[in-house]
Amino acid sequence: MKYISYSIAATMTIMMMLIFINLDGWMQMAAQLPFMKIDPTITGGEVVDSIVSDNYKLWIHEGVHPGLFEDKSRTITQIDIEGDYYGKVTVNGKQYELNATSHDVKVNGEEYAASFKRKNGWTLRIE
Amino acid sequence: MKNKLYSTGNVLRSILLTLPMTLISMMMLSQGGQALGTLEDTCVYLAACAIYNIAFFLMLYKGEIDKWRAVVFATSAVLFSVSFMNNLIELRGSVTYSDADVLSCEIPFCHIVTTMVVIPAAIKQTIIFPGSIMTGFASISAMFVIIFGSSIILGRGFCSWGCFYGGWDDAFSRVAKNPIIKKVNVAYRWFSFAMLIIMALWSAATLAPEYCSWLCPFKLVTERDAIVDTETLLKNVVMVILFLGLVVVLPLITKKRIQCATFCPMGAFESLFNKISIFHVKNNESKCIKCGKCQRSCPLLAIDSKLKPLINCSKCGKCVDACPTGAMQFHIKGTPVGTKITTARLLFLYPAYTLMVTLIGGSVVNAIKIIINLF
Ligand code: SF4
Ligand code: SF4
Ligand code: SF4
Repeated sequence: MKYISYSIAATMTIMMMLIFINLDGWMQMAAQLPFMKIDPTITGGEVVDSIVSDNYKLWIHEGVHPGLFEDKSRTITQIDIEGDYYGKVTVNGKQYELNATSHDVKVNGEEYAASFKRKNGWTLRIE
Repeated sequence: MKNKLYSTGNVLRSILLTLPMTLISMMMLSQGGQALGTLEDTCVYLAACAIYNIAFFLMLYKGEIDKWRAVVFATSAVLFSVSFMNNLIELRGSVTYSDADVLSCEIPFCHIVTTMVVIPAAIKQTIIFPGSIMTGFASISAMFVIIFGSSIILGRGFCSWGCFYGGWDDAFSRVAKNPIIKKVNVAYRWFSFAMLIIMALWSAATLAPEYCSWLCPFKLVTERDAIVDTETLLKNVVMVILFLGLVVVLPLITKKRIQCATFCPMGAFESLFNKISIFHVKNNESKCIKCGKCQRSCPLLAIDSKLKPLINCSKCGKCVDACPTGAMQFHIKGTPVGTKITTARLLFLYPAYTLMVTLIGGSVVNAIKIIINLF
């Protein structure tokens, strides 16, 4: 038993080195784990639609259900906006009138609270 | 001063035992040759190798692990911060992060976040952190591999040999000669386990890493919220107070690593890996004279009144160095207690030091270059 223990202990230096030497390989394997994706409440979820013109670009994300157990009664939809946009967008069957300039972000005429400045535009979170 | 119990007492023998570490450090710090571009790069690389190897040599020659470990650990922590903050300034022009950085998922993943993502990862199968799975520095997959791999090998040894934050409170816990508060109840260590549970549940409830948002003192020496409103101002005030209180003042007056011993949830999480790791610190009771020096010296409140190392031991070696009889020793599970104690010690030192050199060494090399370029 003691020889097995000493042998295991002796291999630990090599193991430690292998963690770093083959880091790219281990990373690829770790990335395959089922939970290795950023939560959609952070990323906004998958982009399901986009509206692009010369003056603006809109990316509409799939609605996400917040909460640990994904509260289906609530849906948050994220729209990323680059440039100034005034017009209608349809999200989850509902039509929104959007007035999004860099200083005035409104949904249905109401000032929308969850708006965040991005590097190249704005992000809206519609609930 | 030498620790006669462990000192090799022989320069040649110490050099020979340092040689494997020299080869490992030269290999790991070269980063596949990337660290050797110009003449300046090569000189800095050689200087970093020399610093790490001299400290390792002194650990063996003097027979004192903790003192030399702490010198390198604390220096590495400070230089890591220099390198990390400089990286951020080059990447995004600031050490602060904004909504834009969070929305773009460009926040480097820190090991402490692991404690907050476990429950959503298990239940919702997602990671609740605005980082990148594969790309950028400190990607989530890279950090997962390093944290879990090294913790399986060393247990909570990560907290004295790998963590690029731990060096800060380790350093402040050594400044004063004598503590103003002489006794800190070891029961306070349970607070870090409570923090682990609270942070894991709180973050699962809000799907946000709440310790990072509100309580991490080390944001002061890495990256922090840009102050844009009352909430971000409050977060910054809390961060400064916690850094000064837990990392500076309390370690100064108690000579204990208060942040790591009582507050950091990752310390508690790492402690669980002590059950798996083959290395541990053990009291050979047949040699113990119950002087209590080990307990008084332990910076992590990890030795109880029965003078036995507890689950939260970080294998720093301070109690081993302090013990006058050699009763407190590094031990390999499954081997007889009290035999081959220098072998057990060496077999632990190599992987532990490999972690320190590899995980923080690259940043040290980078920071030395930054400092040289300032002049
Ligand atoms: S307790 Fe936390 S901050 Fe301290 S060394 Fe461990 S992981 Fe790092
Ligand atoms: S028990 Fe000893 S080795 Fe463990 S943390 Fe305390 S002083 Fe360090
Ligand atoms: S320092 Fe050594 S001899 Fe003294 S109480 Fe601790 S283990 Fe026993």
